[in-house]
Amino acid sequence: MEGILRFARHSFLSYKALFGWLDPKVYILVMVMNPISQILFFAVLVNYVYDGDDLVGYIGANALILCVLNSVFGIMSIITSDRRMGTLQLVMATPVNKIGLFLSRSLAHVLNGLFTSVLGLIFGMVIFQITIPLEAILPLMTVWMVSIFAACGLGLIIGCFSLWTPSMHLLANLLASSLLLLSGANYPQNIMPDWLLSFADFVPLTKGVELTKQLLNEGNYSNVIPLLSAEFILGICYFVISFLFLKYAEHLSRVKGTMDLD
Amino acid sequence: MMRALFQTIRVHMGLSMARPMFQFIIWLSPLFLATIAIFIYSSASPEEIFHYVILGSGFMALWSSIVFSSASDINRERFYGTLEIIFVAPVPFVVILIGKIIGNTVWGFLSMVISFVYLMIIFQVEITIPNPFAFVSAIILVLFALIVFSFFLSLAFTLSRQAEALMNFIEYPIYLICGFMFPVTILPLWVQPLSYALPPTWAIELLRVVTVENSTFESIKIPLTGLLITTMIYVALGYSCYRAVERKARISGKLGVY
Amino acid sequence: MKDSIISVTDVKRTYKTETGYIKKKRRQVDALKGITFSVEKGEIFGLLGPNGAGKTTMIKILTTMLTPTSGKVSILGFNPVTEMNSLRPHINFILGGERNLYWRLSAYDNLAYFADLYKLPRHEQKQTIDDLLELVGLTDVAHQRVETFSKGMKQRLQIARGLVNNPEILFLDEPSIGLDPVSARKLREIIQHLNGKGTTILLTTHYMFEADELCDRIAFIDKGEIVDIDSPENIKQKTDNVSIIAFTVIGVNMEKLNELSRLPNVQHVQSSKQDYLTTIKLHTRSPQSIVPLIYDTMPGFVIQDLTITKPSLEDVYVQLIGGKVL
Ligand SMILES: Nc1ncnc2c1ncn2[C@@H]1O[C@H](COP(=O)(O)OP(=O)(O)O)[C@@H](O)[C@H]1O
Ligand SMILES: [Mg+2]
Repeated sequence: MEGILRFARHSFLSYKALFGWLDPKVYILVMVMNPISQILFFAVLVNYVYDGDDLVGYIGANALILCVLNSVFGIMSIITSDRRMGTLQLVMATPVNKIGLFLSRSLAHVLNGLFTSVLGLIFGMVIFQITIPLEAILPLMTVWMVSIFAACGLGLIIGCFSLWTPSMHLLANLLASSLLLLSGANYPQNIMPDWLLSFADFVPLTKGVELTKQLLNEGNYSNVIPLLSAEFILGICYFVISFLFLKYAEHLSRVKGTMDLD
Repeated sequence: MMRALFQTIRVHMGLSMARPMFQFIIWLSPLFLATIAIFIYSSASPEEIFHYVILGSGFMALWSSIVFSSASDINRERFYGTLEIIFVAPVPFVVILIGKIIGNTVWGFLSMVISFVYLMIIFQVEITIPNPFAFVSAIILVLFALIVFSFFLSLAFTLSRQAEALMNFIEYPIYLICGFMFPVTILPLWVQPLSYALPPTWAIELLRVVTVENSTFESIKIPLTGLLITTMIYVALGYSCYRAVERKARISGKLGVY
Repeated sequence: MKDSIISVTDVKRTYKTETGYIKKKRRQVDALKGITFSVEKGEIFGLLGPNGAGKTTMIKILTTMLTPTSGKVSILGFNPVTEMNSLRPHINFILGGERNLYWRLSAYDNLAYFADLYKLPRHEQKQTIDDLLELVGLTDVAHQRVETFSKGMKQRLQIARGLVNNPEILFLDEPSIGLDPVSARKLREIIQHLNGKGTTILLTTHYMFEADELCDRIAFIDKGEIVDIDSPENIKQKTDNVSIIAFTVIGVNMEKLNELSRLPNVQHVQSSKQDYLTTIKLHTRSPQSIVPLIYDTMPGFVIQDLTITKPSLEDVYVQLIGGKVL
């Protein structure tokens, strides 16, 4: 119990300390208006091009994609901000288990990402006057949760790169754009050329987007278990890789002295 | 004066390109937008593809690098507290500002060309321009209109803090309202007046009509007039904003801090 | 040596740096060239030295953040290289400057955050944090964001942060850097208070008077080597019968300074220039005989404020390290 409380508080305080968008005005501008304008643009576009076909699925998929605000830009801050404030070296020198630490820091962003996506979905539903079946809600949220978790894992890997490169804006935007492109949120996935598709298989959100479309357009639940397990395993792999990067950075800092965590 | 302008353009182009984010906007972002657009329009007619994918993503590239970047350039100067310094420099502020915008325009044009070439080579999209002369003239006019518009926007952003916050998410709304990737006519009626008050709407419309096979002056007339009128309006608005910024800087000495 | 809780034996640390991508230039910096010392339980131990001496490198090694290239380190019986997980709960460290805190969190939340990281049981946390805030005098602003704090307040919060796990040894790297005199005094009081309660303290500084006032023993460190270790009193004793003749003149040149240093029985000459006034200090064992010689050597100069004093720790430092005046 104590462990869980500690985990939760750490998650919350890290979010507040490192992401710092709890100020309501800024939050609304950055974390509400921004994603809403993005989903509106793509929804209008696909609604026009596909003549309203499968609109629910596309709106759902675009809503899911909005989580990149957290799963790319937010998650990065748990390393970049910490380092900028000079606290990363303190944190790394505490006896706490670093894997648990970064997982708890990521948790806040998984939840916030889910919140942003749900907000986008509700907005899309209101504007385009569409509904989703009640029984789809729980599976959809599960799919999104796992998908966003996986995306956060990849985001954390990119965040680790900030220990080596100063060009984080570039990397973050590159990742965000790649997720938008590869996930197939705005077109049927089979439109992509094969080589891109096989690449997309290893990118988070692709399976989440596919499942979102299947759930909302066809009411097809049969692929949830296989695709979602794959997405989950992908997420675990990303987190493992990012922890290896962190360990390597710690080694460089402690043993080689070529990395300054400060 | 001309020398100062060219100097500013040259220096600014170098400085901009040194920023990784600008590199992303110029070299990579158009490729992503073009790819997404072509995937979405994959089963559309060649004409639609030309209008909404090629011109649309090319125009987005122009927009990001000219208008968006120019506005954020000024904002950055203010953030670092260098805006006042520029204001009291011997070269008039207006020359520096226009120099920066022209610098971004050159890069933006390059970015649009990259987007065209990319679509032609990778996706085998055919670009046929029936009347090259009209097209080139239209492009020049469009670039001019965008320069005027970004001149206005940069100054407006300097004047108010709210505008600054707005800038951070103005990209998608503009894509939406100005109909970069679809006809403006599909937007709700109450949005359309706003669309037509913005030069980019007319600009992309003009490019679309001049590239239609056997386009006549009749068909060009409306977007051409629209673009000219809105541009004139923004020249006037830009001028008064410039005056206001100047007053603010001279009298209250308050550009950097609010 | 029986009660030493830190023992450092012949510790060396080199940094290898590479610059340039294509034509790699390798450079090796010997930051520590064989350091040996030990600290006893309950001591305040000072590492004193100029910039680049290797103080921070030493602190990083002791706090498990860096591994030595060679040599042996033992802290509380643990090896900080291999047993860092056992050691970390028992020590803590404070770095100078305003950073190293979460500015967007309140003072209380900063401490709660680190209390969690040091695995303090939750039911003890509230009491501990309240006590710490009381100790550093931040109780009234406990729930304000750190970004609203002054430098001194931030530094005091750093101290509280360094104490959340009630460490047996506290390491401080240039704790008073950039502080105003009042805050610096308050900081010294806190350090003394902690030491009174039994915390062993190892600090680095390049302020002499701070080391003099606080430390039980001082290690002078220069260019990665220890020049001397002793108590401030003993160190001053070593130069017991040395006196310092200090005076100011206007417009003196190198030649004159050299001339002064060649006077009989003058061991050392320091000079520091402020505006057009130069302060000159001569280290000597026979001040009475030297003073007239000074006037003889410098005819035509207006010599002001001539004093003869016992050496301060700073003077000893200058003599030991032979560097420029600070
Ligand atoms: N990460 C590093 N890489 C290369 N050289 C370093 C590094 N850290 C410190 N040094 C060098 O080691 C020497 C000692 O530095 P430091 O321990 O920081 O000294 P101090 O804290 O006494 O000022 C200096 O010459 C410094 O330039
Ligand atoms: Mg140091």
